[in-house]
Amino acid sequence: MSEAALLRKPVPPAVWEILAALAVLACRAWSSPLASLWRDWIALLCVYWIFTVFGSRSRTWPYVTGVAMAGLLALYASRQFPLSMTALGLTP
Amino acid sequence: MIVANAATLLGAHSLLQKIKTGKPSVDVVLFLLLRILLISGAVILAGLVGLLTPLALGLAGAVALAVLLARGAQRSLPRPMPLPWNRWLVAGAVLILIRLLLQVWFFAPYTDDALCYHLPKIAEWIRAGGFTREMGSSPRATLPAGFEVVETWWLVFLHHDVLIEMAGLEFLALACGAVYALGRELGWSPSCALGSAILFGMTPGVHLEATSALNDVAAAALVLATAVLVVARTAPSLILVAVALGAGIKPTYVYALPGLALLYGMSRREATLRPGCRWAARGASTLALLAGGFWYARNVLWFGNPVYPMGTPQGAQIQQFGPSLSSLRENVLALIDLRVYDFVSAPGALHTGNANWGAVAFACGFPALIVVLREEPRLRRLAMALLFSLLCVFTLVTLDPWNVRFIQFFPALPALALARVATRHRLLAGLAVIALFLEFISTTLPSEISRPKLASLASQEWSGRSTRPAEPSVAKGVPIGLFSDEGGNPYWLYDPDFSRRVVYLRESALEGLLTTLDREAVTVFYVAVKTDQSNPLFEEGVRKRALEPFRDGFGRGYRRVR
Repeated sequence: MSEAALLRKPVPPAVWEILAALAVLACRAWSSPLASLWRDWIALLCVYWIFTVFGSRSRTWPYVTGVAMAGLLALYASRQFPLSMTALGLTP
Repeated sequence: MIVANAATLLGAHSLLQKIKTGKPSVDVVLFLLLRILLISGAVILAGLVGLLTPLALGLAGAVALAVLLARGAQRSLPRPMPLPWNRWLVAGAVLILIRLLLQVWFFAPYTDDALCYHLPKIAEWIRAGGFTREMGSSPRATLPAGFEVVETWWLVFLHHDVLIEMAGLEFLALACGAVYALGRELGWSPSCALGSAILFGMTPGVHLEATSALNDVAAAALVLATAVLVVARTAPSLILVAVALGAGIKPTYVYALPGLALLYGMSRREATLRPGCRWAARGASTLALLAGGFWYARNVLWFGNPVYPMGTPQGAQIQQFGPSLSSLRENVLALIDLRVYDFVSAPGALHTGNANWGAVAFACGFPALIVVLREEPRLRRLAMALLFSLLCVFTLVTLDPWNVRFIQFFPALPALALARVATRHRLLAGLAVIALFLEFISTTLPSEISRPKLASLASQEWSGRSTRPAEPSVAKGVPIGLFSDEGGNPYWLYDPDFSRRVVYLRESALEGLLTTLDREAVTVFYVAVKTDQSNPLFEEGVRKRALEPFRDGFGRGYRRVR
């Protein structure tokens, strides 16, 4: 295949998706402290997005998705749920 | 109340027969819109002619019901049929509905915004039996009141505010119906669509605000209803019904319109569904334009400005006027860096510091959205449209701790996506149920109802239930004054049965103030703290022994001394 033909070939959507996810991830890494990136909601979603591009048809996909959701749920609940419990008067 | 509600329900059903699309889920949305339209029309007309009374509206309802029954409108009512949904989902929806009805019964209006400027005008209307020029002391009182009209409907018959939150429930039903219809329009099963509706309805911000007498859920419901009508390719005249009603509820609905216009543009190649009777559809859109445009026309007549007080120095203190890219940037960063985590406070109706999108959207909905967006082009279009609406709203409102209330249509996307993904994998459905359970717990009480307030509400009889700190030191039914530029929560002074007259004092000289007090037979008036600190009027009154200061459990005020 000639170089011109290669250049004319459209970039697959998956590549664009990965580039977009990496760009957002880079922005978050640039704008937030690196030490707190592991609990940055957008960064975690970007990592999950990249996994989904590669592994959405794999057998492990539901389990990895479950782990991602459970992790985000733990991140959310660890800080929010105590507030709700306090408001309801259900804290010891 | 029962007869008038039956009349609007049967009337909406009868109208629907003429304009229905043939798609049951879209027709349910149209039915709910038509009911809100009939209620709005009835209350506005009654308010204009001074017949906003239980007797007049009850009689009108009885006549309308008799005419509808005589014409056989009941014959086209749907017959009971097997429910097409998963029984666990139905059980969950019923449980949520029962708790919502208990919240309606138990809560009294509690947010400052409602007490300060949404509800005092309704109290004036109910007391006067019609629309009044007096709407309270807040500059926000002149903003569109399409939601307050539906609240008025739930107050006027009982002359009491015990059911005021039912108005919010009407719009919550519309919002959930719209999410359900969107799911069905995307080609998903009835159970999947019902799951989406439940997940959206349990979004903490949406759920708690529905019973708070605030109008943002109503605006969000109209955004989603408009989206349904656009996606389903209904006739433009029917889309106009939703647009006009939305514009009459809150300008933030109008701010979201560019996204809906984008959705319309993206769907325009699909065939349009023609309504059965074009004249009925045009009639409905004309009535909606009259109902939604009423507030803007009134402001033109009274103030020469349809969006008064916006565009005036007074309006500048309320909200920015026009777009601002710095507002967009600040609002987006505040949302994704801070508010989406919901860790500033427990969920509340005012959304203070939080997005209140909840565990379902945050933890499960957005990952699911990534998956479903990759697969479903029609959801991609809807997501682009709602994202554009969100950005438009954020461009037009100043950053403050509460403004995520204006974009409550957006959690519909993660709710839709999560229901779709959860129907495929039991593991993910289980996680969604856990997140939903957390939301169910956290939406039991809004953060604005503190524990002492809760104890106070529980100790009161339903007929006198109020969130005010204490009863005013004036006998029941005796008029009371309020001197306030903004704040002071005037609605509390009317009493839950609207038995007390409230006189708003705006005088700048002592002589005028005393004249008004004597003319209106007001012996006691309260003063909002901000006003009290800045006004030497009262010191002069005390010095001249015309006023005597006092402080009680309700607040700070003055007694007239003769």
